[in-house]
Amino acid sequence: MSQAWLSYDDAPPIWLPASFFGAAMLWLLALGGLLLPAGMLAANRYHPQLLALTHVLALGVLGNIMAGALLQMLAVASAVAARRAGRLLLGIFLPWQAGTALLVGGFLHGFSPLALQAAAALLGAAILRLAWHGLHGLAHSPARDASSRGMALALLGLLVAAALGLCLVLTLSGRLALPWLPLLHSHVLWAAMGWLLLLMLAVSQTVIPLFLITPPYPAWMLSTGRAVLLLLLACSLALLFWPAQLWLPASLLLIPVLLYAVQSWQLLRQSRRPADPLWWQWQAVLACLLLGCVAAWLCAGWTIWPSLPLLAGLWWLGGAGLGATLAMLGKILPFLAWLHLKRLNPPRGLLPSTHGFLPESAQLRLRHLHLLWLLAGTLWCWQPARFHLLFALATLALAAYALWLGGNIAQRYQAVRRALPAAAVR
Amino acid sequence: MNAIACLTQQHRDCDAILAQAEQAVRHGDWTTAGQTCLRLATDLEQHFQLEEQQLFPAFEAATGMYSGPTAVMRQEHQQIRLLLQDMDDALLASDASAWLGHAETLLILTQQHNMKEENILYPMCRQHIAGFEQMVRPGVSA
Repeated sequence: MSQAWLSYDDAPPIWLPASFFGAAMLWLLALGGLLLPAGMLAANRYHPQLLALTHVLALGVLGNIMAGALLQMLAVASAVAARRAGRLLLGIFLPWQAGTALLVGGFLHGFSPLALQAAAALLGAAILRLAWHGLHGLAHSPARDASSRGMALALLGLLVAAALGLCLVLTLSGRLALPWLPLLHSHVLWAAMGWLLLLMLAVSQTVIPLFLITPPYPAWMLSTGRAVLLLLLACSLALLFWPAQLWLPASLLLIPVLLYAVQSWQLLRQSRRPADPLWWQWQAVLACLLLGCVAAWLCAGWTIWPSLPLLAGLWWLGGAGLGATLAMLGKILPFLAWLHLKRLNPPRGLLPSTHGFLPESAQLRLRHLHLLWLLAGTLWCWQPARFHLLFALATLALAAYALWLGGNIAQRYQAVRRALPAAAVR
Repeated sequence: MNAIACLTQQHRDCDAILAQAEQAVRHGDWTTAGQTCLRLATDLEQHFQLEEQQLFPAFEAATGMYSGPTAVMRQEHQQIRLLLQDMDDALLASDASAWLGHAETLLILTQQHNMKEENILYPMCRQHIAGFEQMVRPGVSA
């Protein structure tokens, strides 16, 4: 039994999650930059520019926020210490950024085998390191709550998604002769549901009742996570061996999403803090989750409208994923700044509250900008040639505002640190 | 109700009172806000006393862990008490913006504190303290 459990010293130093969050905002800026040239003139889910954009959003923006938040959550909620933060930075953060950049570069430069293979190696190493940190830590943690178990399930989902991604790269580079289309669909399913949905499900089971003061999620929600993994396995097997039967597990996958959304809505209606910006943000997240889910389900049978897969991806990743992660960042980042400064024992009155780092009005503006961004993205999915500039500008505006808010938090943090007596900072 | 459920319920009750106070401040009802804040401070202090006077010493004696989780929990109790003072100051000045800022900080601090207690410390207490269930019963305070 560790003497140091629950100690602040076991939580990651602020620069570790902040590095992931800062990188995510820079990737969001890069997403805007990549949207500027009108590469894709008509909706095409296999267009290199779309693949590059999807991975910038999934790995660069969401992946970074999710990894940073996961390291923090594992330490606080599950007593999985992040003692060697420098090694985590080297083992996860750096290969994650380099791998994402190479993957995006590889897509944009004619599926360059060298870039894609290097990206797969780097991202595989980063994901393995993150999964090892989480799964090994959770196996030795006394925490057995729904969020801790849910995070373990999400990490398993991430591992499978990464393994499928590696197989895809090796197939595209001619090193393996695997059926690439079933691999691709499996990779998308495991990444979107096995990783993103399951992590959202795990985190919200703790965060929604605690931040919004709602009743707890029912115990069967954890079984929903396990059911998602089993259904994903069934989908992958069907894609490989019985494609005609895919409709059954794919349709069944709608049920856990629906259950989660309905259950969350019921809880939100019972929230005692409906004035919190998170309350509205989570309603929008749930709406996007359902829209994305239905659009993805329709993709299989309704191939006549090529915009549909793009819309499914946008609403799932950009609507639900980005909406949820931005909402969480609005809570986590100001609190981390406050907590780390509080440990330095500032004199009373010097340390502002979390709203002093990020006011509620700024969170509301960010939410509105995100909704406008989503609207611009929806138009872009419909007619990419016509609306690419609008979507690019909306992305740049969202990224610039998020970076400005992050800069304000950093500036405020430094100002308080500078005002502290020298003995406290040392 | 077992001991962990009882302690967890005390956390939830305090959360609900904080939410009531927040609604009162958002509506500019400072009288209700003042009364609710007083109830919050009283209930929280009662819960802290139960932990600090009975639960934590029993845990420390049973495990020999004097500078581990219980020390961190005590430190966080102290931070919560200081935030309650900040909220009290804002209440006296009828400064809604300051009060809401301190209340949000208190909410997140207490939630991550509660998470640590409910997920890790309480299960450890149940494992190591012989009379844990008798120590914490509904209606029993320090």
